[in-house]
Amino acid sequence: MNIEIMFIFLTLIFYLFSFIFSFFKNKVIYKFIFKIGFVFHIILLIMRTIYSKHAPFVDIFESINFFSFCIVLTLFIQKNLLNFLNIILIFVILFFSLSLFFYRTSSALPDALKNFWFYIHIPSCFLSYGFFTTAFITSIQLLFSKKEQEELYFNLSYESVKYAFPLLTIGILSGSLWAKNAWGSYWNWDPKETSSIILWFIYLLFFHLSNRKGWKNKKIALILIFGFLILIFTFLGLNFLKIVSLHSY
Amino acid sequence: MKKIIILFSSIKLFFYVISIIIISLILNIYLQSINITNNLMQIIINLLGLNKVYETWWFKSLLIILIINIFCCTIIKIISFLKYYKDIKKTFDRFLSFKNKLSIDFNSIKSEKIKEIISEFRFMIKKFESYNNIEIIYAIKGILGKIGFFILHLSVIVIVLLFYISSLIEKNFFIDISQNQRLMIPYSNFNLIATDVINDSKGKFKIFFDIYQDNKILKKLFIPSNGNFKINQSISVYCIDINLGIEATIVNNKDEFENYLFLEGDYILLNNSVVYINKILIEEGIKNGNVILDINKNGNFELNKKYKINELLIIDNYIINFKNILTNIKLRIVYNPISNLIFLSFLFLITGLIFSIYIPFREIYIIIYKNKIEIYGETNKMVESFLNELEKIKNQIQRR
Repeated sequence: MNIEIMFIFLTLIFYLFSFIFSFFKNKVIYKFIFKIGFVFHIILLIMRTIYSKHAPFVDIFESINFFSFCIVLTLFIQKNLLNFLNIILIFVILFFSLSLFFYRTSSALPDALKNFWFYIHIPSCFLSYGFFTTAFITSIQLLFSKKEQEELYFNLSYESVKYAFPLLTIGILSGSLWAKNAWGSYWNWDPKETSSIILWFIYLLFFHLSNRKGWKNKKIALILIFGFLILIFTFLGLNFLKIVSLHSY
Repeated sequence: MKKIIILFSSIKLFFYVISIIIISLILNIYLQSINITNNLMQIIINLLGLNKVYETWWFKSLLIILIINIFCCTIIKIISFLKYYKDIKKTFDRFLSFKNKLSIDFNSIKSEKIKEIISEFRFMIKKFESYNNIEIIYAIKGILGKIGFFILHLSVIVIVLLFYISSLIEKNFFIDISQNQRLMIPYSNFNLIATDVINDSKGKFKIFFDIYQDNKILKKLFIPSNGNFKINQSISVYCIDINLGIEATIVNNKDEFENYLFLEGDYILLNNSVVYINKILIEEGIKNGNVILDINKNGNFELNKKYKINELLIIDNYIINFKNILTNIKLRIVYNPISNLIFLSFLFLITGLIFSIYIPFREIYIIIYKNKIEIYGETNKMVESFLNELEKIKNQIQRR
C-alpha cells in the first residue's frame, strides 16, 4: 500500500472519529483525536512535498487538501474557535474527502509556477480562505442564534475576517506582482482575479458595515454567507465550470 | 466644499458603489462563461459592455467615485484627527464622554508614581495638569492604530494612481538577440550579450547573459528561456522565446558549395535521399552542440543519427558539414521607472491594514483627587482586553 495513501486515510479516519466523539460528553478525547489527525495531515503534506519536490498546493487534489488543512490551521491561530470544533470538522472532512476524488500521484512543478511569489501568493490566499470558512460557519450560527448570543458569534466572525482580510490582501498584491513578472501586467481582469477582487470588496464592505450601528447582528451574517459563496466560486467554480483562465494549471 | 466632501465621504455611497461593482463583476464573469443566443440580450450586453465591464466608461466612473469616496473619507478622518489633537490642548474634560470608568476610593499615592505605573503599561503620557488640588494625567497607547487608517486609505489611492501612471509611461521593446551579439538596452547605458545557450537535463533551454556597463562586465546571469531579470530599478528583461538554427555547408561532387541555415523540422532534399533535422541539442553549450537527424537514404531509414558540430555527413555524392549552431532569443524589455514605487505602495497598504486592524488606539485619563482616584478609558477596538488592562492599572495603583 502506498504510504501516502495510508496517511490520507489515517488523517481522514482520525478527523471522522474526532467528529463522532464530539457527540460524547468527554470533550478531551475528541480534541485529542483531532490533534492526532492534524499531525497525520502535516505528515501527509510533508510527504507530498518530498515526493513532488514542490510545495503541496499545485494540482486540484493538493489545492483542496491544503484548503482543508488551512481550515484546521485556523483553529490553532484563533483558539476560541476550538469550541466549535465539531461544526468546523464537518467542513474539514467535506473538503478533505472532496480532494480524494481528484487524487493523483504528484507531478513536477510547472515552469510557470517556479517563482518566489508562488510561496507567498498561494499560502496566503489559502489561509485567508480557511479563515473566511470559519467566519462563514460562525455567521451561520449568528444567523440562527438567539438575540443574547448574537454578540458572541459576531465577535467570532469578526475575528476570523480580521485574520483573513490582510491575508487575502497579501495574496492579491503578491499575485499582482507575480502577474507583472509573468504576464507583463499587474492586473489582467482574468476571471480568477476578478472574482478575488469581488471577494475582497465584499469583506471590505463587511469591515465598514460592522463598525456601524445596527449591523452587528444577523444582517452582517448575510454578507459573510454571500462572501463564502463567492469564495467557493473563486476557488473551485472556475475549475469546475471550465471557465478559461490564466490561472489554470 | 465641506458639503461636497461630506456627500462623497458617505458610507452609504460607498455601500452602493461597492454593491454595483460587485454585481457588475459577477455578471461579467457569468456572461463570459455562457453562450448567448438571444439577439436582444446580445444587443443589451454589447450596449452596456456587460461582458467586459472593466473597459466601459460607467465601470471606470464607478471606480473613480470609489476613489473619491476613499479620498474624502481620509480627509474627514484627518480633520477629526487634527481636531482631536486641538481638543486635547484646549479642553481637558473629554474624559466625561468616555464609556469606561473605574474608581479607587482612597488616595495614598503620588502622581509621579501613577505616571510610572501607566508607563509600565506602555502608555505615553501626553499631558499632565493640576487645578485646585486635582491632578489630571492624560496618556495614550497605540498611536499607530490611529495612523494606520491614513496609511491604508492613502496607499489605496496612491496604488490606483500609480497603476494609471504606469500604464501611461511604461514602454515595451521587443528585440531579437543572437549569440555574442551586443545589445544596447534602451533608456540605459547597459549592454547585454547572450554568451551561450544550453539544454538542461529536462531538455529546457537556459541562457547565459553578460551585462556590461561602460565595457566592464557588471553581472553574469544564467536564466531559463522563459525567465526574466532586472537590469536596474526601472528596466526588466523578459525572455519570451528561443529559436535554434544550424548553419550548414553542402558541397556537391563538383566541389561547388552553398551555405544554408536550417531550423528544427526542416528537410534537406538531395537526389535520392531526404535528411530531416529532428533536433538541435546543446547540452554543453552551442560550441559542443549536436544535431539529431532522421535520414531516408534511397528508402532506407536511419533514425536519430547524432552528428557533432563539424562532423561530416556524406550522402548521395554530397558532403554536408554542420558548421555552427545559431541562436535567436526573443526578448521583451520593459522600462517602467515607477515599478518600485508600486511595490513600496503595496507594502504601505499592508502595513496600514495591519496597523488599523490589529493595533487598538487607547486613551486614559487619570483624575487624582485628594481622597480618590478615577480612571477613564476609551478604545477603538478590542474592548475586552482594554477593560482587563484598566483593571490591572487600577490594581497596580491600589497595591502601591
